[in-house]
Amino acid sequence: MKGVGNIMTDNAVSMEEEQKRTIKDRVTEVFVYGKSMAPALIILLILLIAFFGIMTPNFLTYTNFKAIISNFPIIAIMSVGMTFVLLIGGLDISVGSILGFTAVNVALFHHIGFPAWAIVLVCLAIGTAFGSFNGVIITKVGINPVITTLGTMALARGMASWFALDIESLKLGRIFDQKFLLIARLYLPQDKQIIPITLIYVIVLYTIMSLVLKYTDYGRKVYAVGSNEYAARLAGININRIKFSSYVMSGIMASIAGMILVAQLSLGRDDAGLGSELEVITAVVLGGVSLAGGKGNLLGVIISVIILGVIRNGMVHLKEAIGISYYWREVVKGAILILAISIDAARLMAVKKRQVVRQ
Amino acid sequence: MDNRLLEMVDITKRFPGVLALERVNFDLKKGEVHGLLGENGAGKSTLIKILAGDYSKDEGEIIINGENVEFYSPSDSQSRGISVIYQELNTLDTLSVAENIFVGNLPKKKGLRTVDWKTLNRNAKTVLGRMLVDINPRRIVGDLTVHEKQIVEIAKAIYKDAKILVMDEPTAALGEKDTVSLFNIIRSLKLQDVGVIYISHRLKEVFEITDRVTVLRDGRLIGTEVTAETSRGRLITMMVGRELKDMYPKRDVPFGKTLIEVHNLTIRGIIEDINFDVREGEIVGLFGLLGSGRQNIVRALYGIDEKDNGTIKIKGSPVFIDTPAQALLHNIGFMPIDRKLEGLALTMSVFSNITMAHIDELGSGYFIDKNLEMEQSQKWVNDVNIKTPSLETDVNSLSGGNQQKIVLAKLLETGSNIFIMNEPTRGIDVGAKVDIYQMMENLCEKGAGIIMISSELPEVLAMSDRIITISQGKITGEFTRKEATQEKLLQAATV
Amino acid sequence: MAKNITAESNGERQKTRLSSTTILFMFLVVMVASFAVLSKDFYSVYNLSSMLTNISFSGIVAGTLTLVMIMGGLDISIGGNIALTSCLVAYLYNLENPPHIALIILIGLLLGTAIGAFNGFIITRLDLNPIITTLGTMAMTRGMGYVLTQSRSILILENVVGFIGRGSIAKIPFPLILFGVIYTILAVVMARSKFGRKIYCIGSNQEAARLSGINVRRVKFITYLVSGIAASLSGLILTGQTAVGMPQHANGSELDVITAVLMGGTSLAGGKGSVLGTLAGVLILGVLYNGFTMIGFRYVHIRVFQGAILILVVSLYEVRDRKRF
Repeated sequence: MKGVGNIMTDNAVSMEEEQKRTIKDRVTEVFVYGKSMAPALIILLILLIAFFGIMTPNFLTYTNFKAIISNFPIIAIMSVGMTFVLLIGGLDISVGSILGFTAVNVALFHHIGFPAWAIVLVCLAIGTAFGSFNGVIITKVGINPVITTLGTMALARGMASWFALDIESLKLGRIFDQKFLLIARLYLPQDKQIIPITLIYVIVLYTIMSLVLKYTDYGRKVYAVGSNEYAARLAGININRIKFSSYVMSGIMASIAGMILVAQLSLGRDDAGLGSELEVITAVVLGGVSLAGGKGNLLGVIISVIILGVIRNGMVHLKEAIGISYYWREVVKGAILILAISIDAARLMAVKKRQVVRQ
Repeated sequence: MDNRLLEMVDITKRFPGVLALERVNFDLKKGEVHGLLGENGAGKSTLIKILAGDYSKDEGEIIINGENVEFYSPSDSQSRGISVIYQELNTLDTLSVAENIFVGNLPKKKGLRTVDWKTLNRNAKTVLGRMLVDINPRRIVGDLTVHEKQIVEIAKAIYKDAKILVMDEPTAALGEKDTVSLFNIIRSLKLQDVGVIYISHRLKEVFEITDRVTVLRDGRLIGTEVTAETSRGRLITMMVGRELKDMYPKRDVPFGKTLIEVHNLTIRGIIEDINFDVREGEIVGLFGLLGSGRQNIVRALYGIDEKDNGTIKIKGSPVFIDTPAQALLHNIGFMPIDRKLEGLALTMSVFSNITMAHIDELGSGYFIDKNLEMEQSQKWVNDVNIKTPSLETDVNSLSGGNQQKIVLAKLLETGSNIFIMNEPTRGIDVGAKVDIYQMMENLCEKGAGIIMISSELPEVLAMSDRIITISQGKITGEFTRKEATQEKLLQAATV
Repeated sequence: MAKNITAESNGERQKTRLSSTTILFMFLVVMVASFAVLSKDFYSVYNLSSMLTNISFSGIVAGTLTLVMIMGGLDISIGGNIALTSCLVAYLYNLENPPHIALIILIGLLLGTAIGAFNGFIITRLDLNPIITTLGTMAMTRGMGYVLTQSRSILILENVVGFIGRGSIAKIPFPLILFGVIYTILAVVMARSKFGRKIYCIGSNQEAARLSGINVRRVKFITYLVSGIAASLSGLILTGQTAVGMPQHANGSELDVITAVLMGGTSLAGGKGSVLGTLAGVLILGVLYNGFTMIGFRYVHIRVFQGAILILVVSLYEVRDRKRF
């Protein structure tokens, strides 16, 4: 602290004062200032579970719980990367394709004979490469993130199909390396198969990344850049580096998700992750991460991911119970996305309205 | 002993076609509040931008604490202890107060180097305490009032150990109470040897808070006075100068019927019960300081912003104006305060811009009658004396004065007879100003009525037939041209 | 003061745009010549005809997308629109008591209108980000296609629709005629009409346009509407060509179309661009893909090129613009 003088002792905040921040204050902060979407989302989740539980049999069972859990790690992991990108005010629609390209390469390198650990490294390299490519084009060349990642999306997907094409035996891309499959197939404890390791991955990842966002210099810089680029630059933050890193993060998350998907299915197809960017963006925006940048956190995101998983699973049950076509799922996804951005826009407008000033 | 924090010596800055600053000298002492005065276009913001590192100087020196320095970027300036708090504030609205103050420099715990939030908040409270204010450091800045945001910016500057603080029109959006609070903060800064450069139009405040005051006019230094030893009158004379009188046309138009009447115009919390009218051939000046509410009045009038209450009558009949399109239908034309943001399509041509508000009338069918469009555009280019290589030139490449004339031409093309002109000569050269004034006179001769917002006293006094002063969202006075003096106007505007 | 209207975007500086469009067309000629040399099948009537038909299909939506992008917006939902239209038309045709084919076609076009209207409405009313919004619409429309067809392809062997996709008048493929007509209309609208001028103004400075009395909401709405109709028209063409309605139609077509528009010089920021430029872009891409296929590249390779070309083209424009300042 810079030299202050006597005023400091008069105004220093004691420990007790800190703790006096009442429950009332905290509740106000959360609900009134609309700081977090989490409470609203939790309510929504409960309502949805109740809805599906009532409308369909077998929904509220442990087996079904495992089914829901098995699907959502892919989206959950990619959502972490997308959160970083949205926080700095960007967008990445290439994640699904990076996942697909990774999947194909897993099959490819498995075919060549790489051991499991080497395949993992290759995947991470792929994610880093694509993420870096996106990052460079967006920050150095200065092209709009949507266009850039649109291009990368085509590139990656095209390359995935290309590789899959040329390697005949990869037609089905079957993977048999036990060690690799364990990545996704481990359970805790192994014999009773209660908690899948993918769930652990997600919990650990979200916990670590939440801590990164909240408690590291880097994390706070991410928020600063998304909040006001000019002010952040004035404060000495290297804007380009932060932006670049978020795209790399997004790429790596996508490739990790690809690895896990292949391990789950023991299948590395070139259409893996097709259309998943939509779900990921929906989850992140619904979770309260603003398209404008600088606002939002992973708590809301993880709840949204669960919500989307519940909806997806619930609709399958609904089909059996009532006969609604399973294919309404895509429509619902699109509708939720539009709903999510409408809410985001409404929140932004509420803030703007509060700032009307006499000129 | 030299207690000079800052010296700017013979600063000169040129822009294409304009000499913005000519050998300006300025200095600042430790613990001093030094006011910087001047009309719009006098060069104040150019000088500050050079100090802030946003602009480069063409000639001259900047000396800080006896050392000659060069600034190549805002960061350079900052690292030398200079902090500028602009009118538009540069806060990170989605982050907390504490984080804004310490952005880029958050306190960390030993060992892991993770952000130490407890210490951050505690430090923030301390810095705020130094300014004798009490804001919860956890609050999100986007939720704060303008004054509270200002405090955050000042706190940020203090934390950065700024020795030179520049405040650009800090009280523009503040009320009485907040202004008092701000002045207390400034006084506490003085005690800590911080030097403050205080830019403001409000003479009352200048006399209250500054130790010395420097006046610029037309890019030149007119003089630096000790506040306690000078007078309002003297400062006004310095700001205004005499030669400008020749710029203005002789205003000698008889008035006709009432064109437009405004009754009870109110926007809750912003403007209250505004009533006035404008007759044919008349120019009504709206004078007030920044933050008085004039913008809100005319924007509500033109249908840009919503109003809570009020009726508008045109030639005696009440009309509903909820959108600019409706206003145009009633022959009201609007010249916005920021021509680049609101008045022109910079990537488009001269003729496109001139006809932008009259597209539907360029020919009878679905297609634009090119000949008609060119004819009309050429007519206005001639009438308003717009200097452009051709009608097809992008307006981006024209000078400010010509750009403003194009905006004027756009209004003329619509055939309006009620004009709202929002700072019509802001940021343009003298030659263009004269042209615009002449056009205004011509319009009045043809029976138009003009509502003119201006912060330039000489302009208001010379061009308006009547002047209405606005302060804090209310009308505080109405003067005819004969009655009005700069004194009275400033008095009424600072009520 | 004489203006070469057909070559230029409305009210824009002549020099630079003219040269870039000319360059594009020159490049096109070079490409056509090269491919003719490299592959003997390229110049056959069959190939040219099918290539031009393909170009027409994506070219029509590229044309209307140009309007949307000049206005400063974007419409990614066109692919979903095309798919759903084809599904709906095929579905209706295969009902127990199908309505008259003219009615079916009308319903198809109305569908496009509805989708366009939906996009236009929520984007203008709620002031939403057009990119994400139309992404959502794309998912919804394509999803409804899946629902309608239960993920199967529905055959539609019918004369009128078949004519739309494969018919010809005086040896000219019908889609190409549609393409020509639509482009002429769009070019004229953008270059000479009041509506077109308003689109440029809004794209260049929305607020200035609004203050000038332009009904921004209405213009935006109509533009998205038109984009929707064009997409369903393309859907009809595609259905006619392939004789099936399936939800996988036009998957990935948004990339092609956006690339063509950007290649033609339209800026994502709005206010700049021309229909003629898009025409060049559409032709170049069409010839490129067709030529590559003739040489021996497969679809997957071309997909890779698509992505690379998009990034390359936009980078080039970006660098060129930066040099100017």
